[in-house]
Amino acid sequence: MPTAAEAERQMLRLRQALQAAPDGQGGRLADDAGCQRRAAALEVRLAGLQALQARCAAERSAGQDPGAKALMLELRSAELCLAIMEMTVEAAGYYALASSDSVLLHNEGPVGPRYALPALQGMLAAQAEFGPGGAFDAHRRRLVAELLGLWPGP
Amino acid sequence: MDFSLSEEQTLLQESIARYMQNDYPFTERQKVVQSAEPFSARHWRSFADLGWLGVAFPEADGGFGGGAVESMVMWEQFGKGLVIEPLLATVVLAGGAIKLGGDKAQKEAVLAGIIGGEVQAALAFAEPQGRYNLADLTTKAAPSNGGYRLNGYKAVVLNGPAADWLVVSARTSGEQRDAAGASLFLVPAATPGLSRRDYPTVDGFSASEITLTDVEVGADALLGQEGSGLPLLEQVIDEGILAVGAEAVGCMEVLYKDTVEYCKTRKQFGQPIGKFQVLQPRMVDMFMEHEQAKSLMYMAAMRMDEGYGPAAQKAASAFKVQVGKSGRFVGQSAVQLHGGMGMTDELNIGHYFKRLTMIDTLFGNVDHHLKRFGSL
Repeated sequence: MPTAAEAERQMLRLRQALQAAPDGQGGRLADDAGCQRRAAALEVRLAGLQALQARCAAERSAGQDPGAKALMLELRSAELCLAIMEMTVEAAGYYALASSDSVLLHNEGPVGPRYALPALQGMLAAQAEFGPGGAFDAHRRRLVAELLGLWPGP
Repeated sequence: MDFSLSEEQTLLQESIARYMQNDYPFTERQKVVQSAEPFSARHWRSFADLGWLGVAFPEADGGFGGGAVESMVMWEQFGKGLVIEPLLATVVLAGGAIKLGGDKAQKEAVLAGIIGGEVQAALAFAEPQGRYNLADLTTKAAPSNGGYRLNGYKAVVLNGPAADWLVVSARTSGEQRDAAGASLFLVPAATPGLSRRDYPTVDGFSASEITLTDVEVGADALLGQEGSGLPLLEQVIDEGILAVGAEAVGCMEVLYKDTVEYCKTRKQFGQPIGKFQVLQPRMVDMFMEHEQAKSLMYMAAMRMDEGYGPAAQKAASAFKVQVGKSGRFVGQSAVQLHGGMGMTDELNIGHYFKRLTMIDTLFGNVDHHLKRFGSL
Protein backbone atom coordinates (compact mmCIF):
# COMPACT_ATOMS: atom_id res chain seq x y z
CA MET A 1 0.00 0.00 0.00
CA PRO A 2 1.55 3.37 -0.99
CA THR A 3 2.46 5.78 1.79
CA ALA A 4 3.21 9.49 1.97
CA ALA A 5 6.88 8.55 1.81
CA GLU A 6 6.24 6.71 -1.46
CA ALA A 7 4.41 9.75 -2.83
CA GLU A 8 7.38 11.88 -1.82
CA ARG A 9 9.72 9.49 -3.62
CA GLN A 10 7.55 9.63 -6.74
CA MET A 11 7.49 13.42 -6.51
CA LEU A 12 11.28 13.49 -6.40
CA ARG A 13 11.39 11.38 -9.56
CA LEU A 14 8.90 13.68 -11.24
CA ARG A 15 10.98 16.72 -10.36
CA GLN A 16 14.05 15.00 -11.82
CA ALA A 17 12.09 14.09 -14.94
CA LEU A 18 10.88 17.67 -15.41
CA GLN A 19 14.43 18.93 -14.96
CA ALA A 20 15.70 16.50 -17.59
CA ALA A 21 12.87 16.52 -20.15
CA PRO A 22 13.18 19.02 -23.01
CA ASP A 23 10.26 21.33 -23.77
CA GLY A 24 10.95 21.51 -27.50
CA GLN A 25 11.73 25.23 -27.23
CA GLY A 26 15.33 24.93 -26.07
CA GLY A 27 14.41 24.76 -22.38
CA ARG A 28 13.27 22.14 -19.89
CA LEU A 29 9.76 21.18 -18.86
CA ALA A 30 10.62 22.43 -15.37
CA ASP A 31 10.72 25.95 -16.86
CA ASP A 32 7.31 25.63 -18.49
CA ALA A 33 4.65 27.65 -16.64
CA GLY A 34 1.93 25.04 -17.21
CA CYS A 35 4.11 22.22 -15.91
CA GLN A 36 5.18 24.31 -12.94
CA ARG A 37 1.54 24.91 -12.03
CA ARG A 38 0.63 21.22 -12.31
CA ALA A 39 3.71 20.13 -10.35
CA ALA A 40 3.00 22.74 -7.68
CA ALA A 41 -0.57 21.44 -7.31
CA LEU A 42 0.84 17.96 -6.72
CA GLU A 43 3.32 19.37 -4.18
CA VAL A 44 0.46 20.98 -2.28
CA ARG A 45 -1.35 17.64 -2.18
CA LEU A 46 1.85 16.03 -0.92
CA ALA A 47 2.25 18.68 1.79
CA GLY A 48 -1.33 18.00 2.90
CA LEU A 49 -0.61 14.31 3.00
CA GLN A 50 2.54 14.78 5.07
CA ALA A 51 0.63 16.97 7.53
CA LEU A 52 -2.05 14.30 7.83
CA GLN A 53 0.64 11.69 8.38
CA ALA A 54 2.19 13.80 11.12
CA ARG A 55 -1.19 14.03 12.87
CA CYS A 56 -1.63 10.27 12.66
CA ALA A 57 1.85 9.73 14.03
CA ALA A 58 1.25 12.17 16.89
CA GLU A 59 -1.94 10.40 17.87
CA ARG A 60 -0.23 7.04 17.75
CA SER A 61 2.63 8.39 19.91
CA ALA A 62 0.04 9.49 22.43
CA GLY A 63 -1.37 5.99 22.46
CA GLN A 64 -4.48 6.91 20.46
CA ASP A 65 -5.88 5.27 17.36
CA PRO A 66 -6.03 7.69 14.41
CA GLY A 67 -8.92 5.61 13.06
CA ALA A 68 -10.45 6.94 9.86
CA LYS A 69 -7.54 9.31 9.29
CA ALA A 70 -5.16 6.36 8.84
CA LEU A 71 -7.40 4.87 6.18
CA MET A 72 -7.67 8.23 4.46
CA LEU A 73 -3.90 8.57 4.53
CA GLU A 74 -3.49 5.34 2.58
CA LEU A 75 -6.19 6.24 0.09
CA ARG A 76 -4.91 9.72 -0.58
CA SER A 77 -1.29 8.48 -0.80
CA ALA A 78 -2.26 6.00 -3.49
CA GLU A 79 -4.28 8.56 -5.45
CA LEU A 80 -1.44 11.05 -5.30
CA CYS A 81 1.12 8.45 -6.38
CA LEU A 82 -1.01 7.70 -9.42
CA ALA A 83 -1.37 11.38 -10.33
CA ILE A 84 2.39 11.90 -10.02
CA MET A 85 3.11 8.82 -12.11
CA GLU A 86 0.75 10.06 -14.83
CA MET A 87 2.60 13.35 -15.06
CA THR A 88 5.95 11.54 -15.09
CA VAL A 89 4.75 9.46 -18.05
CA GLU A 90 3.67 12.65 -19.82
CA ALA A 91 7.09 14.16 -19.20
CA ALA A 92 8.62 11.30 -21.18
CA GLY A 93 6.84 12.50 -24.35
CA TYR A 94 7.21 10.09 -27.24
CA TYR A 95 9.54 7.88 -25.21
CA ALA A 96 6.59 6.84 -23.05
CA LEU A 97 5.75 4.60 -26.00
CA ALA A 98 8.94 2.54 -25.69
CA SER A 99 8.44 -0.79 -23.98
CA SER A 100 10.89 -2.04 -21.39
CA ASP A 101 10.99 -5.41 -23.20
CA SER A 102 14.17 -4.51 -25.07
CA VAL A 103 15.90 -4.01 -21.73
CA LEU A 104 14.57 -7.23 -20.25
CA LEU A 105 14.90 -9.48 -23.29
CA HIS A 106 18.02 -8.22 -25.00
CA ASN A 107 20.01 -6.82 -22.10
CA GLU A 108 20.20 -3.43 -23.78
CA GLY A 109 19.97 -0.08 -22.05
CA PRO A 110 16.58 1.59 -22.02
CA VAL A 111 15.29 3.41 -25.07
CA GLY A 112 14.95 7.06 -24.15
CA PRO A 113 15.12 8.58 -20.69
CA ARG A 114 15.33 6.18 -17.75
CA TYR A 115 12.48 7.76 -15.81
CA ALA A 116 9.99 6.85 -18.57
CA LEU A 117 9.96 3.08 -18.15
CA PRO A 118 9.11 2.39 -14.51
CA ALA A 119 6.69 5.31 -14.47
CA LEU A 120 4.44 3.77 -17.08
CA GLN A 121 4.59 0.24 -15.64
CA GLY A 122 3.83 1.60 -12.18
CA MET A 123 1.00 3.73 -13.45
CA LEU A 124 -0.65 0.84 -15.26
CA ALA A 125 -0.40 -1.41 -12.20
CA ALA A 126 -1.71 1.31 -9.91
CA GLN A 127 -4.83 1.73 -12.04
CA ALA A 128 -6.07 -1.68 -11.07
CA GLU A 129 -5.69 -1.03 -7.35
CA PHE A 130 -8.44 1.57 -7.42
CA GLY A 131 -11.02 -0.90 -8.66
CA PRO A 132 -14.30 -1.40 -6.86
CA GLY A 133 -13.91 -4.45 -4.69
CA GLY A 134 -10.16 -3.89 -4.52
CA ALA A 135 -8.10 -2.75 -1.56
CA PHE A 136 -9.08 0.89 -1.93
CA ASP A 137 -12.75 0.18 -2.28
CA ALA A 138 -12.53 -1.81 0.92
CA HIS A 139 -10.95 1.24 2.60
CA ARG A 140 -13.74 3.49 1.42
CA ARG A 141 -16.35 1.06 2.62
CA ARG A 142 -14.72 1.03 6.05
CA LEU A 143 -14.71 4.82 6.05
CA VAL A 144 -18.43 4.82 5.34
CA ALA A 145 -18.97 2.70 8.41
CA GLU A 146 -16.38 4.19 10.77
CA LEU A 147 -16.65 7.84 9.86
CA LEU A 148 -20.25 8.29 8.85
CA GLY A 149 -21.72 5.54 10.98
CA LEU A 150 -23.56 4.15 7.98
CA TRP A 151 -23.89 0.55 6.91
CA PRO A 152 -21.54 0.45 3.90
CA GLY A 153 -23.84 -1.78 1.88
CA PRO A 154 -22.89 -3.43 -1.42
CA MET B 1 -25.41 20.74 -40.27
CA ASP B 2 -25.67 17.28 -41.75
CA PHE B 3 -23.85 14.60 -39.79
CA SER B 4 -25.28 11.67 -41.71
CA LEU B 5 -22.94 9.44 -43.69
CA SER B 6 -23.31 8.89 -47.43
CA GLU B 7 -24.18 5.46 -48.76
CA GLU B 8 -20.53 4.82 -49.70
CA GLN B 9 -19.31 5.94 -46.29
CA THR B 10 -21.84 3.71 -44.57
CA LEU B 11 -20.77 0.75 -46.69
CA LEU B 12 -17.14 1.41 -45.80
CA GLN B 13 -18.00 1.63 -42.12
CA GLU B 14 -20.01 -1.59 -42.20
CA SER B 15 -17.33 -3.41 -44.18
CA ILE B 16 -14.65 -2.64 -41.58
CA ALA B 17 -16.97 -3.27 -38.65
CA ARG B 18 -17.83 -6.68 -40.08
CA TYR B 19 -14.17 -7.55 -40.62
CA MET B 20 -13.25 -6.51 -37.09
CA GLN B 21 -16.07 -8.59 -35.65
CA ASN B 22 -15.58 -11.72 -37.74
CA ASP B 23 -11.94 -11.82 -38.79
CA TYR B 24 -10.02 -9.81 -36.21
CA PRO B 25 -10.65 -11.39 -32.79
CA PHE B 26 -8.74 -10.02 -29.82
CA THR B 27 -7.07 -13.38 -29.15
CA GLU B 28 -5.59 -13.46 -32.64
CA ARG B 29 -4.37 -9.88 -32.28
CA GLN B 30 -2.59 -10.86 -29.09
CA LYS B 31 -0.86 -13.76 -30.84
CA VAL B 32 0.55 -11.29 -33.36
CA VAL B 33 1.64 -8.90 -30.60
CA GLN B 34 3.46 -11.72 -28.79
CA SER B 35 5.11 -13.04 -31.96
CA ALA B 36 8.35 -11.86 -33.51
CA GLU B 37 6.42 -10.31 -36.40
CA PRO B 38 5.49 -6.64 -35.99
CA PHE B 39 2.06 -7.20 -37.57
CA SER B 40 0.01 -9.78 -39.45
CA ALA B 41 0.94 -9.98 -43.14
CA ARG B 42 -2.31 -11.84 -43.75
CA HIS B 43 -4.46 -9.02 -42.38
CA TRP B 44 -2.37 -6.43 -44.23
CA ARG B 45 -3.03 -8.29 -47.48
CA SER B 46 -6.76 -8.34 -46.67
CA PHE B 47 -6.76 -4.60 -45.94
CA ALA B 48 -5.18 -4.01 -49.35
CA ASP B 49 -7.55 -6.37 -51.14
CA LEU B 50 -10.53 -4.66 -49.52
CA GLY B 51 -9.23 -1.30 -50.76
CA TRP B 52 -8.80 0.26 -47.32
CA LEU B 53 -5.14 1.20 -47.90
CA GLY B 54 -6.15 3.36 -50.87
CA VAL B 55 -9.19 5.17 -49.50
CA ALA B 56 -7.27 8.28 -48.39
CA PHE B 57 -5.34 8.77 -51.64
CA PRO B 58 -6.54 10.73 -54.70
CA GLU B 59 -7.86 8.79 -57.66
CA ALA B 60 -5.03 10.23 -59.76
CA ASP B 61 -2.58 8.42 -57.47
CA GLY B 62 -4.47 5.15 -57.66
CA GLY B 63 -6.61 5.70 -54.59
CA PHE B 64 -10.31 6.24 -54.01
CA GLY B 65 -10.26 9.98 -53.34
CA GLY B 66 -11.54 9.78 -49.78
CA GLY B 67 -11.31 12.77 -47.45
CA ALA B 68 -11.25 13.39 -43.73
CA VAL B 69 -14.75 11.99 -43.15
CA GLU B 70 -13.81 8.69 -44.80
CA SER B 71 -10.65 8.61 -42.69
CA MET B 72 -12.70 9.26 -39.56
CA VAL B 73 -15.17 6.49 -40.44
CA MET B 74 -12.37 3.98 -40.98
CA TRP B 75 -10.31 4.84 -37.95
CA GLU B 76 -13.21 4.68 -35.54
CA GLN B 77 -13.73 1.07 -36.62
CA PHE B 78 -9.99 0.30 -36.49
CA GLY B 79 -10.08 1.60 -32.91
CA LYS B 80 -12.86 -0.79 -31.99
CA GLY B 81 -10.81 -3.67 -33.36
CA LEU B 82 -7.62 -2.41 -31.66
CA VAL B 83 -5.82 -2.93 -34.96
CA ILE B 84 -2.10 -3.55 -34.63
CA GLU B 85 -1.18 -3.26 -38.33
CA PRO B 86 0.86 -0.15 -39.26
CA LEU B 87 -1.92 1.81 -40.97
CA LEU B 88 -1.00 5.01 -39.17
CA ALA B 89 2.70 4.91 -40.01
CA THR B 90 2.46 3.67 -43.58
CA VAL B 91 -0.79 5.14 -44.91
CA VAL B 92 -1.52 8.27 -42.86
CA LEU B 93 1.94 9.57 -41.95
CA ALA B 94 4.46 8.50 -44.61
CA GLY B 95 1.80 8.01 -47.29
CA GLY B 96 0.21 11.31 -46.32
CA ALA B 97 3.50 13.19 -46.67
CA ILE B 98 4.06 11.71 -50.13
CA LYS B 99 0.45 12.42 -51.11
CA LEU B 100 0.78 16.08 -50.10
CA GLY B 101 4.38 16.80 -51.14
CA GLY B 102 5.48 14.14 -53.58
CA ASP B 103 6.03 14.62 -57.29
CA LYS B 104 4.78 12.21 -59.95
CA ALA B 105 7.86 9.98 -59.80
CA GLN B 106 7.84 9.76 -55.99
CA LYS B 107 4.16 8.92 -55.93
CA GLU B 108 4.62 6.25 -58.59
CA ALA B 109 7.58 4.79 -56.72
CA VAL B 110 5.86 4.47 -53.35
CA LEU B 111 2.13 5.19 -53.26
CA ALA B 112 1.15 2.43 -55.67
CA GLY B 113 3.01 -0.06 -53.47
CA ILE B 114 1.38 1.28 -50.30
CA ILE B 115 -2.09 1.07 -51.81
CA GLY B 116 -1.35 -2.42 -53.11
CA GLY B 117 -0.08 -3.59 -49.73
CA GLU B 118 3.44 -4.40 -50.97
CA VAL B 119 5.26 -1.45 -49.43
CA GLN B 120 5.76 -0.39 -45.81
CA ALA B 121 6.77 3.13 -44.85
CA ALA B 122 7.41 5.33 -41.83
CA LEU B 123 7.64 9.00 -40.98
CA ALA B 124 10.82 9.87 -39.07
CA PHE B 125 9.99 13.29 -37.64
CA ALA B 126 10.56 13.25 -33.86
CA GLU B 127 13.88 13.97 -32.18
CA PRO B 128 14.80 13.44 -28.53
CA GLN B 129 15.20 17.15 -27.76
CA GLY B 130 12.20 18.30 -29.76
CA ARG B 131 9.33 16.99 -27.65
CA TYR B 132 6.26 17.96 -29.76
CA ASN B 133 7.89 20.84 -31.66
CA LEU B 134 8.04 19.66 -35.28
CA ALA B 135 10.46 22.45 -36.21
CA ASP B 136 13.05 21.48 -33.57
CA LEU B 137 15.51 19.65 -35.80
CA THR B 138 19.16 18.80 -35.24
CA THR B 139 19.15 16.39 -38.20
CA LYS B 140 20.78 18.22 -41.08
CA ALA B 141 20.73 17.78 -44.85
CA ALA B 142 23.72 19.39 -46.53
CA PRO B 143 24.23 19.71 -50.32
CA SER B 144 26.36 16.87 -51.64
CA ASN B 145 27.10 15.59 -55.16
CA GLY B 146 24.03 17.27 -56.61
CA GLY B 147 21.87 15.77 -53.88
CA TYR B 148 21.98 15.82 -50.08
CA ARG B 149 23.93 14.24 -47.24
CA LEU B 150 21.84 13.55 -44.13
CA ASN B 151 23.22 13.36 -40.60
CA GLY B 152 21.23 13.13 -37.41
CA TYR B 153 19.03 11.05 -35.12
CA LYS B 154 15.32 10.26 -35.24
CA ALA B 155 13.37 9.04 -32.21
CA VAL B 156 10.42 6.66 -31.84
CA VAL B 157 9.91 6.05 -35.57
CA LEU B 158 6.70 4.02 -35.66
CA ASN B 159 6.91 1.02 -38.00
CA GLY B 160 10.63 1.69 -38.43
CA PRO B 161 11.49 -2.05 -38.22
CA ALA B 162 9.27 -2.94 -41.20
CA ALA B 163 9.59 0.20 -43.30
CA ASP B 164 10.91 -0.02 -46.87
CA TRP B 165 10.81 3.77 -47.18
CA LEU B 166 11.33 6.54 -44.68
CA VAL B 167 10.14 10.12 -44.88
CA VAL B 168 12.76 12.02 -42.89
CA SER B 169 12.57 15.61 -41.68
CA ALA B 170 15.89 17.45 -41.73
CA ARG B 171 17.10 21.00 -41.65
CA THR B 172 18.48 22.39 -44.92
CA SER B 173 18.86 25.96 -43.60
CA GLY B 174 18.15 28.17 -40.60
CA GLU B 175 18.58 27.63 -36.88
CA GLN B 176 17.52 24.56 -34.89
CA ARG B 177 13.94 25.66 -34.18
CA ASP B 178 13.25 28.00 -37.11
CA ALA B 179 9.95 27.49 -38.90
CA ALA B 180 11.63 28.00 -42.25
CA GLY B 181 14.44 25.76 -43.44
CA ALA B 182 12.96 22.34 -42.60
CA SER B 183 12.71 19.87 -45.48
CA LEU B 184 11.34 16.38 -45.99
CA PHE B 185 13.19 13.58 -47.76
CA LEU B 186 12.02 10.28 -49.15
CA VAL B 187 14.75 7.79 -48.28
CA PRO B 188 14.92 4.02 -48.96
CA ALA B 189 15.33 2.31 -45.58
CA ALA B 190 18.23 0.25 -46.90
CA THR B 191 20.35 3.30 -47.77
CA PRO B 192 23.95 2.95 -46.50
CA GLY B 193 24.61 5.02 -43.39
CA LEU B 194 21.14 4.48 -41.97
CA SER B 195 21.07 2.31 -38.83
CA ARG B 196 18.20 1.28 -36.57
CA ARG B 197 17.57 0.11 -33.06
CA ASP B 198 14.21 -1.64 -33.11
CA TYR B 199 11.92 -2.17 -30.13
CA PRO B 200 8.29 -2.89 -29.27
CA THR B 201 6.05 -0.15 -27.96
CA VAL B 202 3.96 -0.47 -24.83
CA ASP B 203 0.75 -0.80 -26.85
CA GLY B 204 2.01 -3.63 -29.08
CA PHE B 205 3.36 -1.72 -32.07
CA SER B 206 6.99 -1.53 -33.18
CA ALA B 207 9.32 1.44 -33.44
CA SER B 208 12.95 2.31 -34.09
CA GLU B 209 15.58 4.78 -33.06
CA ILE B 210 17.25 5.75 -36.32
CA THR B 211 20.72 7.15 -36.77
CA LEU B 212 21.68 8.79 -40.05
CA THR B 213 25.41 8.95 -40.69
CA ASP B 214 26.44 10.50 -43.99
CA VAL B 215 23.34 9.16 -45.72
CA GLU B 216 23.63 10.22 -49.38
CA VAL B 217 20.42 10.80 -51.34
CA GLY B 218 19.77 12.34 -54.73
CA ALA B 219 18.02 15.64 -55.36
CA ASP B 220 14.97 13.63 -56.33
CA ALA B 221 14.60 12.52 -52.69
CA LEU B 222 13.33 15.95 -51.68
CA LEU B 223 9.58 15.98 -50.94
CA GLY B 224 8.07 19.36 -51.85
CA GLN B 225 10.10 22.55 -51.81
CA GLU B 226 13.43 22.78 -50.03
CA GLY B 227 13.04 24.61 -46.74
CA SER B 228 9.23 24.47 -46.83
CA GLY B 229 8.70 21.11 -45.18
CA LEU B 230 7.18 22.33 -41.92
CA PRO B 231 3.71 23.32 -43.21
CA LEU B 232 3.54 19.98 -45.00
CA LEU B 233 4.58 18.11 -41.86
CA GLU B 234 2.03 20.02 -39.77
CA GLN B 235 -0.76 19.00 -42.10
CA VAL B 236 0.33 15.36 -42.05
CA ILE B 237 0.42 15.39 -38.25
CA ASP B 238 -3.04 16.99 -38.06
CA GLU B 239 -4.36 14.27 -40.35
CA GLY B 240 -2.65 11.81 -37.99
CA ILE B 241 -4.44 13.45 -35.06
CA LEU B 242 -7.78 12.92 -36.77
CA ALA B 243 -6.88 9.27 -37.38
CA VAL B 244 -5.68 8.39 -33.88
CA GLY B 245 -8.40 10.55 -32.33
CA ALA B 246 -11.07 8.61 -34.22
CA GLU B 247 -9.29 5.42 -33.21
CA ALA B 248 -9.53 6.58 -29.58
CA VAL B 249 -13.24 7.26 -29.99
CA GLY B 250 -13.64 3.67 -31.22
CA CYS B 251 -11.64 2.40 -28.23
CA MET B 252 -13.80 4.43 -25.83
CA GLU B 253 -17.00 3.02 -27.30
CA VAL B 254 -15.80 -0.54 -26.73
CA LEU B 255 -14.67 0.30 -23.20
CA TYR B 256 -17.88 1.93 -22.05
CA LYS B 257 -20.13 -0.70 -23.66
CA ASP B 258 -18.06 -3.63 -22.35
CA THR B 259 -18.00 -2.06 -18.90
CA VAL B 260 -21.76 -1.60 -18.81
CA GLU B 261 -22.22 -5.19 -19.95
CA TYR B 262 -19.77 -6.43 -17.32
CA CYS B 263 -21.57 -4.51 -14.57
CA LYS B 264 -24.87 -6.01 -15.66
CA THR B 265 -23.57 -9.56 -15.38
CA ARG B 266 -20.89 -9.54 -12.65
CA LYS B 267 -22.51 -10.33 -9.32
CA GLN B 268 -21.45 -9.38 -5.80
CA PHE B 269 -23.54 -9.62 -2.65
CA GLY B 270 -26.10 -11.55 -4.64
CA GLN B 271 -26.83 -8.90 -7.24
CA PRO B 272 -25.27 -7.42 -10.40
CA ILE B 273 -22.75 -4.73 -9.49
CA GLY B 274 -24.50 -2.45 -12.00
CA LYS B 275 -27.27 -2.09 -9.40
CA PHE B 276 -24.89 -0.32 -7.02
CA GLN B 277 -25.71 3.38 -7.14
CA VAL B 278 -22.10 4.45 -6.74
CA LEU B 279 -21.17 2.77 -10.04
CA GLN B 280 -24.07 3.97 -12.17
CA PRO B 281 -23.12 7.68 -12.52
CA ARG B 282 -19.59 6.61 -13.40
CA MET B 283 -20.89 4.65 -16.37
CA VAL B 284 -23.11 7.55 -17.43
CA ASP B 285 -20.05 9.80 -17.34
CA MET B 286 -18.13 7.28 -19.49
CA PHE B 287 -20.91 7.46 -22.06
CA MET B 288 -20.91 11.28 -21.98
CA GLU B 289 -17.14 11.54 -22.33
CA HIS B 290 -17.27 9.22 -25.34
CA GLU B 291 -20.04 11.25 -26.98
CA GLN B 292 -18.24 14.53 -26.31
CA ALA B 293 -15.09 13.23 -27.98
CA LYS B 294 -17.16 11.87 -30.87
CA SER B 295 -18.79 15.27 -31.39
CA LEU B 296 -15.42 16.99 -31.70
CA MET B 297 -14.30 14.19 -34.02
CA TYR B 298 -17.12 15.06 -36.43
CA MET B 299 -16.25 18.75 -36.16
CA ALA B 300 -12.55 18.15 -36.83
CA ALA B 301 -13.28 15.95 -39.85
CA MET B 302 -15.64 18.52 -41.33
CA ARG B 303 -13.16 21.37 -40.82
CA MET B 304 -10.41 19.29 -42.47
CA ASP B 305 -12.62 18.57 -45.46
CA GLU B 306 -13.40 22.29 -45.82
CA GLY B 307 -9.72 22.90 -46.47
CA TYR B 308 -6.58 22.81 -44.37
CA GLY B 309 -5.92 26.07 -42.51
CA PRO B 310 -6.14 27.65 -39.06
CA ALA B 311 -9.77 26.52 -38.56
CA ALA B 312 -8.82 22.90 -39.27
CA GLN B 313 -5.70 23.16 -37.09
CA LYS B 314 -7.74 24.57 -34.23
CA ALA B 315 -10.37 21.85 -34.61
CA ALA B 316 -7.64 19.17 -34.62
CA SER B 317 -6.14 20.54 -31.40
CA ALA B 318 -9.54 20.82 -29.71
CA PHE B 319 -10.27 17.22 -30.68
CA LYS B 320 -6.89 16.03 -29.37
CA VAL B 321 -7.46 17.79 -26.04
CA GLN B 322 -10.87 16.17 -25.65
CA VAL B 323 -9.55 12.75 -26.67
CA GLY B 324 -6.77 13.05 -24.07
CA LYS B 325 -9.17 13.95 -21.27
CA SER B 326 -12.00 11.62 -22.25
CA GLY B 327 -9.67 8.75 -23.07
CA ARG B 328 -8.06 8.93 -19.65
CA PHE B 329 -11.41 9.05 -17.85
CA VAL B 330 -13.04 6.28 -19.86
CA GLY B 331 -9.92 4.09 -19.74
CA GLN B 332 -9.40 4.51 -16.00
CA SER B 333 -13.08 3.98 -15.26
CA ALA B 334 -13.22 0.81 -17.35
CA VAL B 335 -10.17 -0.63 -15.58
CA GLN B 336 -11.45 0.35 -12.16
CA LEU B 337 -14.96 -0.97 -12.69
CA HIS B 338 -13.52 -4.26 -13.90
CA GLY B 339 -11.33 -4.44 -10.80
CA GLY B 340 -7.82 -5.90 -10.85
CA MET B 341 -8.66 -8.14 -13.79
CA GLY B 342 -9.06 -4.97 -15.89
CA MET B 343 -5.30 -4.76 -16.22
CA THR B 344 -4.64 -8.45 -16.86
CA ASP B 345 -3.13 -9.45 -20.18
CA GLU B 346 -5.96 -11.83 -20.99
CA LEU B 347 -8.71 -9.23 -20.92
CA ASN B 348 -8.95 -6.65 -23.70
CA ILE B 349 -9.78 -3.77 -21.32
CA GLY B 350 -6.20 -3.08 -20.22
CA HIS B 351 -4.99 -3.15 -23.83
CA TYR B 352 -7.52 -0.52 -24.88
CA PHE B 353 -6.46 1.54 -21.89
CA LYS B 354 -2.78 1.29 -22.86
CA ARG B 355 -3.61 2.34 -26.40
CA LEU B 356 -5.59 5.34 -25.16
CA THR B 357 -2.71 6.32 -22.88
CA MET B 358 -0.29 6.16 -25.79
CA ILE B 359 -2.64 8.06 -28.12
CA ASP B 360 -2.55 10.90 -25.57
CA THR B 361 1.23 10.97 -26.01
CA LEU B 362 1.19 10.79 -29.82
CA PHE B 363 1.45 14.17 -31.62
CA GLY B 364 1.21 16.17 -28.40
CA ASN B 365 -0.61 15.68 -25.11
CA VAL B 366 -3.44 17.74 -23.62
CA ASP B 367 -1.14 20.50 -22.35
CA HIS B 368 0.54 20.88 -25.74
CA HIS B 369 -2.71 21.13 -27.66
CA LEU B 370 -4.31 23.49 -25.16
CA LYS B 371 -1.40 25.84 -25.79
CA ARG B 372 -1.64 25.37 -29.56
CA PHE B 373 -5.40 25.91 -29.52
CA GLY B 374 -4.91 29.16 -27.62
CA SER B 375 -2.22 30.38 -29.97
CA LEU B 376 -4.16 29.81 -33.22
